[in-house]
Amino acid sequence: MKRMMPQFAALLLLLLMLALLQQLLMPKYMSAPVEGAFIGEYYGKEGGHDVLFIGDSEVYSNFSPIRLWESFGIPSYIRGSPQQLLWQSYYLLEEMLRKEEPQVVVLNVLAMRFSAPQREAYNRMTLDGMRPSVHKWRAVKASMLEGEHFAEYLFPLLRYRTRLNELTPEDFHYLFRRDPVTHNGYYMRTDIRPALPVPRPRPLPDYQFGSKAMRYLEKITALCSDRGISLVLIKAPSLYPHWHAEWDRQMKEYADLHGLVYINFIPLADEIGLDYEKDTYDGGLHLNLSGAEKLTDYFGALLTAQFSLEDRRTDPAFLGLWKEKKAFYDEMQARQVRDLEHFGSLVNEGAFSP
Amino acid sequence: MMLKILCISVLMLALLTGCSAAVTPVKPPAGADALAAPLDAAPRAFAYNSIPIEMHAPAEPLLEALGEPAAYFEAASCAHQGMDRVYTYPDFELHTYESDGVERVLAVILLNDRITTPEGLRLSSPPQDIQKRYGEPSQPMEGVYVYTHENTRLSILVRDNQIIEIAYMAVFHE
Repeated sequence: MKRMMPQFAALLLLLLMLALLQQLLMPKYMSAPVEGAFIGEYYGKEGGHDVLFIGDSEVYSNFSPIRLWESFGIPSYIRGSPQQLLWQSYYLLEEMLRKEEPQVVVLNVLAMRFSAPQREAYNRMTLDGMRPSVHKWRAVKASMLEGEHFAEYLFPLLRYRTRLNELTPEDFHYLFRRDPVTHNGYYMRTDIRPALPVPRPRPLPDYQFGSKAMRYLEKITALCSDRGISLVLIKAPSLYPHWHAEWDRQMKEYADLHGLVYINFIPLADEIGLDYEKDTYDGGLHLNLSGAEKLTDYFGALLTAQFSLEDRRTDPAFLGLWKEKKAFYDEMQARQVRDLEHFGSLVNEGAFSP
Repeated sequence: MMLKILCISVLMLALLTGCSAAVTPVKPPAGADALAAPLDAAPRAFAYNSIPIEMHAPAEPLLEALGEPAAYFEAASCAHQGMDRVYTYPDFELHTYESDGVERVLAVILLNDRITTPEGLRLSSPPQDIQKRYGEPSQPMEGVYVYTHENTRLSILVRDNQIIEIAYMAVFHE
């Protein structure tokens, strides 16, 4: 046994070196595209959220948990990521429900148009941020495209090894830490890019949602039902990509069949008070801060009316934490406004620079 | 023994940092998706007023030749790096994508009956004309006739016995 100690020590050293190398080579997403950092940012903030949002960029750009707290006293978190697919949403929700007891889960349904994995880069931005767990491995298996390998998700070093030639100071600066880039999952953008005339919607050969998307929507529905959680399906207000009437009809039918609330915010833009000349940062695809706060106020009123959500603004267990969140929110807003005044555009897409 | 293990470690590290395609973080969503398709023989390249518009061709000279579009739209691409753009002309839409900083043709969608494909098909043509002009489709699919040739896919949608879309799309070979 004593003679084997040096070998064990050497093996341990090798494993540590490989782990460190992996940590160094994985993208940090502290500069553009910062969206890759969103999923991982949730850890350390688990628990205490009455509302959870899951889905793609239409949730993380369009709803402000800080505003939802300020206006209604509802603590919430958005676990969103770029082009998050239904199966990823399911496993992320499954993971979150290990430590959360929300009353409401809100799912944006744009992803229903995808019933197959799309792009590795988007898979990575969702899956690499998940901590190792059975939920992650199931999400990986459901998400992999042809040519991707499970081992490369298990040991990302195998996939990112070529980044050795592309390392930047950011990779060393953020070797063991990350700066927050969102506000409980909300991606703040104060810049404005007015909407452009959108192309006419193209007809599709088949409007039926695919079986894989439907299967995971049913799993999300069952997961919420089993836990006594109210599931709310939404289609965020967006001018593009086009949300076909046939898709809207399928979602209404699904919601009616399962006794769920489904809200298509697109035709409610006027009622919400959205102005696509001022309330969008990318020509009408996503809302900026002004638009997100209007939508959040509108949705918060609906949530409060429909569900028995407690106003926790006087609860001492929440006050300190949300005061800190609000301070960071205001700080980032002020910084972005200054950047727009000085430079005409946001620095580092709104996140604080590394 | 320790020296042996150390040498093996260094060798493993060297092997792990070998060459392979990197995963490049991309700017996230919204925009048209480009689809890959199998190869087959078929349609001639689309042309408008004798201006050939080939898939994947650099867009800049085409845009100059075509003149001011009636409408313009752009969105961050979810299928490619950079922006997807849509230029709407009176008779067709031109979709472009970015590749290595160069804007290239992604798709052409016919908008009305004033123009035809090089084989003479137009939106008002009876669906029976499709196979007369193009033969058997590359991919059998209900309501869609797909013909692929090299980097171009011609997709013709039929609904209620009417042609509702004629689209040329770039084929990407992964």
